[in-house]
This record gives sequence, C-alpha cells and structure tokens, in this order.
Amino acid sequence: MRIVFGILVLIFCMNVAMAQRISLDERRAKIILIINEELEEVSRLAKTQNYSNPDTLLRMSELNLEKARHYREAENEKFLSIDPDRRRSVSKAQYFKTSTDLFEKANDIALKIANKYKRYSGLGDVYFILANNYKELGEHKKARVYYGLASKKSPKNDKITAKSNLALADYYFNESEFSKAIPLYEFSLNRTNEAWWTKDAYNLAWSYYRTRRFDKAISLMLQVHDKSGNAKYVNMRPQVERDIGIFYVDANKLNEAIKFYEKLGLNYTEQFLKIANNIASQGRFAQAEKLLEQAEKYEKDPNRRNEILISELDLFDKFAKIERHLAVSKELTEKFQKQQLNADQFKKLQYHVNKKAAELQKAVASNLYSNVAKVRSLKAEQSIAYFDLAGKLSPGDEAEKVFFQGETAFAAKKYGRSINYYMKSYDLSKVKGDRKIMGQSVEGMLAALGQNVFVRNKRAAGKYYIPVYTKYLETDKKSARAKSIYTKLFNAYFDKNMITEAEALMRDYANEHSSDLKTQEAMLAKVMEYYRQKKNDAKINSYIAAINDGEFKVSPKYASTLKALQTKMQIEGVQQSLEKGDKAVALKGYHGIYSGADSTSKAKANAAYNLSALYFEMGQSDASYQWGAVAIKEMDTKDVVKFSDSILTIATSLFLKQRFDLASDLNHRYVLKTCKNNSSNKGLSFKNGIFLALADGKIDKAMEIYDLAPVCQISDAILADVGFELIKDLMIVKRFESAEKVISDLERNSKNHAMLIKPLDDLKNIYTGVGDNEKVRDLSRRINSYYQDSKNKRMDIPVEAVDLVAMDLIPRILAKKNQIEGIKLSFPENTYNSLVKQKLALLDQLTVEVTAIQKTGSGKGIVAAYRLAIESYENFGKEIMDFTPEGKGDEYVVSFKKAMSNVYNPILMNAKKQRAEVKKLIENNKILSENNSAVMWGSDPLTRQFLPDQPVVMMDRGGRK
Amino acid sequence: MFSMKIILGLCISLSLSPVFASYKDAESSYGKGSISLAGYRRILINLINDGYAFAAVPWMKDYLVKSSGSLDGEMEIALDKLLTVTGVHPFENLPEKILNRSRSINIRYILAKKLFKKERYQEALGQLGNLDSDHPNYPFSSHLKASILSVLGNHAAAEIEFKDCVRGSLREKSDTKSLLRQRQLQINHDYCVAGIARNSFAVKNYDKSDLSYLDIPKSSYIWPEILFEEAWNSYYQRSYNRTLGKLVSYNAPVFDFIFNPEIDVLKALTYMRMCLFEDAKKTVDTFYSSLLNPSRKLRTFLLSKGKDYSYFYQIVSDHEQGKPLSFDLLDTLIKAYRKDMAYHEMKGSLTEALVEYKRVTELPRSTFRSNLMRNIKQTVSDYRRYIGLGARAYLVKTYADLFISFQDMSYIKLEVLAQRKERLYRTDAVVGKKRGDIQYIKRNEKQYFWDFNGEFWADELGDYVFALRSECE
Repeated sequence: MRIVFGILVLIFCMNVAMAQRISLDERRAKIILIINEELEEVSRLAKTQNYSNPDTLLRMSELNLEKARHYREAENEKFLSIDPDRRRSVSKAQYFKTSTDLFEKANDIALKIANKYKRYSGLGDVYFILANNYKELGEHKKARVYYGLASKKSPKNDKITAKSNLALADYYFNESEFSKAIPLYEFSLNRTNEAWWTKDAYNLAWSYYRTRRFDKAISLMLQVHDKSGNAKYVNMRPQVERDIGIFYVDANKLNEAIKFYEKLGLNYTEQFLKIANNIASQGRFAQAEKLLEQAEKYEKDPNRRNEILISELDLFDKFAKIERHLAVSKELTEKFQKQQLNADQFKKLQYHVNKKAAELQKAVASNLYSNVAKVRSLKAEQSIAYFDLAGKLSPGDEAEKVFFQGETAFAAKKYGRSINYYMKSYDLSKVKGDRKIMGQSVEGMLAALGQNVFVRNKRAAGKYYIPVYTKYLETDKKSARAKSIYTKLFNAYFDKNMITEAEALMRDYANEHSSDLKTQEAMLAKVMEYYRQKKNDAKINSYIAAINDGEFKVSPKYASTLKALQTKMQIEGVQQSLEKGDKAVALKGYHGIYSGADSTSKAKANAAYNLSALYFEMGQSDASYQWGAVAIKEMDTKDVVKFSDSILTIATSLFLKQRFDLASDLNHRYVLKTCKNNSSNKGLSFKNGIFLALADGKIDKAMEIYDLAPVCQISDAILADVGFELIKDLMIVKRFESAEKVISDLERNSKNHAMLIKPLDDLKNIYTGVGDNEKVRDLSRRINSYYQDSKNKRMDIPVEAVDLVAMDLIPRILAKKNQIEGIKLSFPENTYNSLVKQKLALLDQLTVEVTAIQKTGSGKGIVAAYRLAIESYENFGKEIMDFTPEGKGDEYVVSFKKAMSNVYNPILMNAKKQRAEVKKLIENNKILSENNSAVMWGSDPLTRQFLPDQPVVMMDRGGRK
Repeated sequence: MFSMKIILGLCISLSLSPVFASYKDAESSYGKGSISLAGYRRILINLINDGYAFAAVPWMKDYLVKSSGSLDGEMEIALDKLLTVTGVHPFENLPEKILNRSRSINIRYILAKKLFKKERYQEALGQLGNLDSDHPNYPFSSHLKASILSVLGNHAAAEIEFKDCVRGSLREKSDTKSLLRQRQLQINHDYCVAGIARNSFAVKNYDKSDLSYLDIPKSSYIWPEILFEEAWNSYYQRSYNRTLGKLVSYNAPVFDFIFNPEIDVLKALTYMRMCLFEDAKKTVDTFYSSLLNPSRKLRTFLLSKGKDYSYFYQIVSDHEQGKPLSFDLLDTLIKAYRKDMAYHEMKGSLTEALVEYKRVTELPRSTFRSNLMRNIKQTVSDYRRYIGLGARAYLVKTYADLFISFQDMSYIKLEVLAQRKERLYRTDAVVGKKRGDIQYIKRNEKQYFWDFNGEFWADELGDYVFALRSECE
C-alpha cells in the first residue's frame, strides 16, 4: 500500500511538473505567436513607410531580440535535457541556431538604423538593443561599447542612459574595477527608483567597500536594508545582514556591528561566524581568524564558544593551517571526552578529524612528497595524531584507527613503526573478533617486512619475523601464502636457534600440509643437517625412522638423498682413515662397506672404486683390475665418466705391466658402461681395447669391441684407425669375410677409399685365386673407382696402391710389344715398306700407353713401361738394321742398307734417349724397382744385386719374434 | 502608442448675393476696345451693378493687378458685390500684394484665410480687425476669427467669437432670401456651434463639449462629420460603449457617402482601450483587407492622372450623371466630394455663371458682348478647374488620411499585441466575462438608451450605445 501511495505521489508530482512544463511551453509558444504577429504587422508598417521610419525599424529589431530570447530559453532547456555524455558530442551551435539567427537579425536591423540615421533621436535605444544583443550572444566587449554609446546618445535623464550605465557599472564591478563602477552606479541610482535599486545599490556599497570607503559603504548598506523592507524593491536584506558585518569589521566598528545585529534580534556570534567564513572565502585568513578570536573573547556561552572553535576548524581546514587545526581538534576532543560537546558539534569535530586524518594520509601516500621526506614525515605524524584523535572520538573503532596509523606510517616509509601499529591493531581487533582488521593488519605487517629496509637489514627485520609470522599463521594456515610464511617462520626460528620451536612448526606444517613433500623435506633436511652438525646421529636416525613410519612424507628422491646421507655417514669414517694414511684400515673399511648388509649400493660402488684405487696405489694390478671392474659395474655411468681418467690410468698401468688382456678388458668394460654417454675417453678406450686385444693376439676380443662401434657411436676417425689394423690382422689369419666386413664399414667414408685400394687388391688376389671372377671384377671396379675418385679429389694415395694401378696397365703394353715383334719384315719391297709402317704405327700406340702409365706416378709402373718400350724400339731398330733383302744384288742391298740406316738410326736413338730419361727418373725419384737394372743397364749379364751383411729378423706387433 | 491629433477642421465658405448695374453704360465705356484704367473701372462698376458679375471677374482681376493704388469707395463696393455673387474662389490665388490694395471686407477675409493657412495667425487676425457686425460676411469672418483664436489657445475669446458667429449667422440668415445663402449661413452657424464644442474639447472639458455637440441637430448638413467628433469626445470621456455606438451609425446606408478612415481607427482604438483585443485586431485586419488594395489603386490612379484637373472635373461630372467610375473607392470618394459644401458653392457659381452666359447671348451682337461671353467662358472654365482641383485635392487628402490610418491601425494592432503579450507574461488572463450589459453605459441628461436591433432608423442615428464590458484588469 505504501508503495502504491509512493507511486501515486510520484505520478502526481510528475504530472504537476509536466503540467508546469506544458504550461510554460504553451505560454512561450503563445508569446512567440504574438511576436510573430507583431513582426508581421511591423513589417507591413515598415513597408507602408517605405522602410524609412527608424522607429518602426527599431521596433522590428526589438521584436526580433525578444523572439530570440524566447527561442534561446527553449533551446537552452532542450540542450540541457540531453544526456550529459551525449551533450558533449553534439553541435551546440546547431541547437541554438534559431535564436542566434534571430539575434543576428535584430542586430542587423539595429546596425542599419545606427548607420543610416545618424541623427535619429532613438539612437540610444538602438545602441541599447545592440548592447543587449551582444550581451546575449556573449560578446561582452562589443556589448560594452554599445552600452557606452547608448548612454552617450540618450538624454541624460532617459531610462536608457541609466540602464546602460548600470550595465557598464556591472561590468566594471565584475572586473573589480570599482572606482570606475562607482560613478556609473551613482549616476543611475540617482535617476532610477525601480525594484532593482536595492540590488544595484548593494553592488555600489560593495564598490565603496572595495575602495575602502567604509563609511559610505555602511551607510548605503543600511539604506539598502531599509528599502528592502518595502515590497516594491528586491529584498536584499539577507545579503546585507550577511555582508555589513564584514564592512563593520574592516571599518573597525565591531561594536556597531554588534549593535546592528542586536537591534535586528540576530545572534551576533552566528553572524560573525558567517562573516568569518565569508571573508575566509575571500582569502582573508588573518582577518577571519582575528574575527573569530574577537568573537571568542566576547562570547561567554560555552556552547557558542564551542561553535567558534568549530568554525575555527573550518577556517583552518580551508586554509590548510594544519597545526592550528590539529591543536583545536585536540582541544575539542578533550571537551568531548569531558562530555562538553553537543551532538552536532561532535559530529562536525569527528568529520573534521576523520577528514583531516584521511587527507593527510592521502598526501603522505601520494607521490607529491616523495622527494621531500621532511614534509612527508611531518604530514605522517599529523595524520597519525588525527587518527589517534579519531580513535578517541570513536573508541569502538580504535582498532581500525590504529590500523590507519599503521597505514600512514607505512606510506611514510616508517616501516618499523607501521609494524608496531599493525600489531597493535591486530591485538585490538583480535579482542573484538574483527577478522577483517586482523587480516588487514597482518597484510600490513607482511608488506612492511617485505620492504627493502628489512630485506637489506635482516638484523633489523629479525625482531619482527617471529611475532609477525606467528600472528599471520593465527589467521591463516592453509593458503599458499601460509605455506610460505611457515617456511619463513621456520627459518626465523632457526636463525634464532629456536630449534624446538622450529621442529614443532615443522610437525604443524606436516600436519596442515601433509601433501607438500618438498617443504617438509626441506625442513627435515635443515633439521637433520642441524643434528648432523651436532653429530647427533641418534636424532637423525629417529627422524629417518619417523620418515619410514610415515610421520613425515617425503618423495622417493628425498628418500634416496636420505640414503645418500646415510652412505655419506658410512663412508666418512673410512675416508678419514685414508686421509690419515692408514690404508690397511681403509681397505678393511671399504671391504666392510662393500660387503655390509646396510650399505647402500652407492656406498658399495664407492667402496669398490676406492678399493681399486687403493690396490692400484699398492701396485696390486690384479686386485686393482678386479675392483675396478666391480666399480665400473656398480657405479652410475655418470660416476664412471667422472672417474674415467683414474680408470684409464689403471688400464694403462695394466698394459705397462704387460697385462694386455686385463688392460683390454678394463677398456672394454669402460666402453660398454659409457657406450651411450658422450665421454671423451670413450673413443680412446675403444681404440686401446682393440689394439691391446690385437697385441695380445685376441682377434675375437678385438672384433667384439669393434662391433660396439655403431651402437656406441664411435667416430669415423677412430674407426679408420682401428679398421685398417684389424683388416691387416684379419687378412693374415685369413678371416677374409671379417676383413671384407671391416672393409665394407670403412668404405662408407670416402676419406678411406684411397687407403682401401691395397686391401681390396689383396682380396682381389684371394678371389682370383679361387676363381671367383665376378667378385674379382667387382673388386677391380671398386679399386679403379676409388683410385680415380681419390685422384680427382687430390687425396693422398698410398704408393703401393698407385703401383698396383699402374702395374695393372703393363699387360696392355706387353701385348703391343708382342704384336710388333710378331710381325716379321720381308720382301718384296712394297711388303717390306708396309710392314715397317705397320710396326711404326704400333710403336706409336705403345708410346701412348707408356704415357698413360707415366700419369699414374707409379715408379714401379713407369720403369716397367719404359723397359718394354725401350725393348720394343731397340728390337725393331735392330730388325731393320739386320734385314737384308733376299735375291737382290749387292748394290741394291748396299743401297737398301744405306737407305734403311736413315730409318733404324732414329729408332735406336729414341730407345737410347728413353733409357737416359728413365735413368734420370729413377735417380731423381729414388725408384726401387725390379726393372731398374734392365732399363739402366740393359740386358747386361752382370746385373747388380743387393746382398745384406747380416740375416734380417722379422718381428710382430707385440715385439715378439 | 501613437498620439491621436484632433484636427479642428474648418470649412469656411462664402456666398454673396447678385448685384445689378448698367450694361449699356459698360458697353459704351468699352467703346472700341482700347480703354484706359479709368475706363476699366467704369465698365466694371457698371457691369457689376447690372448683374454681370461672372463676366466682370477676368477684368476685375486684371484691374486689381494693373491698378497700383488702393481702390476707391465705389470700386470697393463693386468688388464686394462681385464677391458676393462669385464667391472668393476666383480671387484666392491673387498675390497678397494685389489683394492688399483693397480694403473690402471680403478681400480681407480672403487675405485672412490665406494667412491662416500659412499659420500666420496674428497677421490673419490683423486682417480681420474690428469686424462690422452688419456686414453680410461678418458671420464667416467671425467664424474664421474664432477659429484663429482657438488655434492660438485663446479659448475664452474663441468661445465668445464662436457664440457671436452663431448669433450673427442666425441674424444674417433671417435677413436673406437666397436659399443658397441661407444654407451657407446655417452651415456656418452649425460649424460655430461645433466650434464651441471643439473649444471645450480643447480645454478638456469633455462633458461641456458633449452637451455642445448635442446642440447640432441631426438634420444639420455637418452632423454626419460632427458625429465622428462626438465619438472622439465620448472616447475622451471614457465612454467607450457610446463611442462605438456613435461610430456604428456610420454603417447606416444613409451615410454611404461618408468616407473617413479615421472612423475605423477610432473604433479599433476604442476596442483596444476596453481591452477587447480580438475586436480591435479584427477591426484592424478588416480595415487592411478592405482598403489596402483600393488605396493602392487610388495611389496609382492619382499618379497616372497627375494634375489634369479637367479630367478630375470630368469624372465628377460623369459621376453626377450616374456614370460608373473605374473602381469602388473612387466612386465613394467622388460621391463624398459631391456632398462637400465647397463643391456645392463652386457648382452653384458655375451654374449661375452659365445662366449669366445665357443672358449675355441674348444681348445684341457687339464686340463688347463677345468679350463678355469670352470672359464668362473663362470664368466657367476656371470654376471647372476649381472643381477638378478640389476633387483631386480631396482624393489626395483621402489617400494621405488612408496612409496615416494604415499606420495608425498598425500601431493599434501592435499595441493590442503588446498588451496581449504583456498578459501572457503576467500568466493570468481574464476569462468568463459576458459581453453587452446596460450597466456599463454612461448617460447624460440629453441621451436616451436605444436598443439596437440591427436596423438603422434615422432618428436613432448617433444614439446607439454598445454594452460591452471592458476586459482590462
């Protein structure tokens, strides 16, 4: 029912408002209609008068002005009714277009009159219209000019003169040019007596006052006050009563002011308070303050005195006299505590105190004073003082106010103090059960503790950690932040050596956050470390037992770490014996650890390694190898890599002691263990293992290690190193298939191709032997291919490989030689000539073949080729020389012989030349060839031979015979 | 608000009785046509004495111009006789210097009128001097003198003079047998009664003025125009319903010859005074709608005809013969002009001149007769010209009145609109008032209340009274 009534009332109010609005709009519309009619009529009249009567034109201008004002009013209402957000984006000019057009029209007409009828008696009116018009359009500069002209052109006693002067006076008044305003006001006020006289006189009085003509100002104000009692005039009494006091004050006539107010039955204290506020608003703080002091002096009533103090608060507040404001606030707060303030006064005081506290706090927190620490500090102290008063004024909110003190101190970077306030507010709110303030206080404390000053100065922070964190955990144990606080508090306890409290906190944490293994482990580690340092194994073992019992939950990793700790503890004793040089005890100790049931695998591996090392130092190779092998087996690969140098040293020592098999095995184990790891020693061990096995004649062992190559990603270089050696040994022991496999492995790297020509040739010979021609062809192809490829790539080709290739070409030269020699010279002459030619052609072909061999660079091949060429030339030359045609006369024969000498001599000479060439080649290139003798000295029966002085001893790789 | 001027219009006319003289003497003096100034004098005296006034007019004017000295006694008598027959019109346009050669009462009257028109009031009074109350022109001269005194603000002396004029007119009227002259004297009498009322009006004694106006009978020739002045007087008495009642009388068919745009102006003004804004506005609008275009036509007409007075005489003559004129307003105005007393005088003189012409034609043929006929033709022609000139002057004046009335009407409408607007500014308006109630009528002892039933009765004209309540706050 109440709601319905409310709605009805609302609807009624809306209807009334609407009705008023409609009424207003209708009236305006009616007025505009009339103005339109008037304009129509004036236009008709003007036309009748041929637009030559300035009176009519003036009327037209006036009507346009009047119409413009109505439109402006309506447009203004419409404009203001637009939503403010939208209003900012709309075109204001568009909204005021009609009125602006009309104003301009009025203006145009008035200007035409002014320009055309210079002596028109109503020119003052015209200028007055123009002035008003420009005033409406906001063009005050022009308005003033026209008011001046209106005043000048109108008769002295005309209303227009008075009104224009008033308008001008108002301009001067508003611009505080009072001395210029005064004569204009005086002129107009002496000639008018309309309703607004009081208002204009009031302005004149103020002008007098501003020019320090106080007596005139007071006298005129009294007149205004008097006339305002008459309904004919605008009532300015409230303004006069408000302001005359100021005049009296400045005229130093306070007693008269009191009399004035008492005569009117007004409370002068109240008036003085108003005046004080008023002059304060003019920035005249000192006078306002003085006035209040005076008022306080005159006033005996305690309640009114309180009012004065409250006014002082307003004043000091307005002019930021904080110290004074604070002092008065303190005084009033004491009065409050003595119950001397009424409810309203209390309310104002509380408002002031709270406002000031907040303002100052805001100022402290702002960046404004960040570079002026002193000012900020002062403001912080003041704010804190205000919050203190606020707490006194509202004891129920003390916790909150103290909290604000903390906030203020924080903002002023007084972090220590802020923590103290926060702790206090925490305690107060805890008593009240105000969890919000508790929470905020704790947040404040933590924020303060997080500041650099404490981060850098742990000592300073130390005293706050425990109380702050303890309070925090009272409010929150479960959050992620709480977990962090637990850790911090745990550390704080440790720092303070409060182990018992730390252990209790750890147990509390394990209870609250049982699933957070990591933190529990960290705490446990710290506690156990503490006890380890204290050598309190019992305590450690008790924790291990507690962990095992599930009291503390730890991750498997942590469990292993714990075991490492145990290992460490186990090893530590033996290590100390070793450090003391007591190797026997150490050996015993390590054996004990290795065989101990409690020993961790890590400890066992460690012990095995140390045993190997110890035995190595003691020169006991077998034992060293044995424990080394165990250590490699039981140690992590990582550790094996870590200790690889030591392991390889032991292996090298075994080699030096001719224990090739052990050395090779230790290397083999190492490769196996580190096969998948990227260890620099892995390749070395691989190579050493194979070479040591080969040296030991253990070709199978060598192949076993070799087979690891692809799995363990042995480099090609190492593989080539060991591969060529393996091929040699495999060929020797006729394990051709294995050799072929190794060759095949090496063939994959083209860099090996040149080196493989010889092994391939060896294989080819084997296959030639067994008649596997297909294989032979394949091998020949590969040999040629590798030779050509290597030659093209300008790679080093082993001499024996080059020889092999060159010697392969010799049979073709030999065949040519045999072909030449197979042709026997005979007559008749033509046949003879033809056969010589045929032989000569074949000789040419043979020479080409020799040149091809020369290009191989093979000494052996070249010498062999030259030998066949030399023999072919010599034999052919001799055959021609020795040929005698049968059945021919001597003369013919002599002639024939003589003629043939021209043929065979060059051939023989060429053979001789070739022999000299090859000799030079042999000597220069130090070619050692079985054909050397034949080409150097021919078929001399005394062929030179090398006969050693002593018999030669052949040795194998191991140095064995 | 514009100011309404009351113009005290004067219509002073003079008509003299014909005189008789010896034609034969005149003819013998004329001889062969080459006559001396003295011979002229003899001829004129003889002609005038023998009743050939119109034939003497050109020679009299010629003599006055040529004669450098003052007129002798016999000549003065002859001139007076002549003026009594022809009226003053033929001599009005003679220069003052010429006129000053005569001491004739009639010539002094002409001079006074000329000076009055030139607003040289004291000089005019000087011409009139101490009037001889026995002179036939005395009523007219005293009328002129009263008017001048009134204009000079000497209302007391003016009233005495007007009353003297009233008495003199009545006395002179009883002494004359000429109907035209009787009518002239009656009209002069009525104007002087009106002058008394006007004099009271001028001193704002409206009640006295009102009573004085009532002394002019409805049968008076001037009453239709005086009714308008009465309406004004009622207006100043704030008896607006009576003003409206008097003005409504002009709607009677009997007044169809009256054309006075100020009637509507006063009506609108009265409505406005009573705050009957709609009525006022309606009056203004009706005025504009009915007269704006005709007034434009009139203007065009006047501009197109210029000063072709014979044309204007012709249209007056045509109208007299019942021929239609080119537009209604012209017709109405010519009709009104024909009702004017000055027109009647000129028309009367013209007729008499024609009668004289006929008489001359019946005389034996001679050069002298021919010259007389030529003289009369000239005089007739002059009269026609005067009639044409008078018609044009009337039309021009009416156009000027219309022009002013249009402005007055606009001012009234603007005032009405301003007052309506003022009411809107003051928000509250007068509503629910009934129109027409007897209690709003003010009466004096000479007036009776007449119910208006939509018909006009001759004896009721001027006595209608509206019963509208003022809607002013």
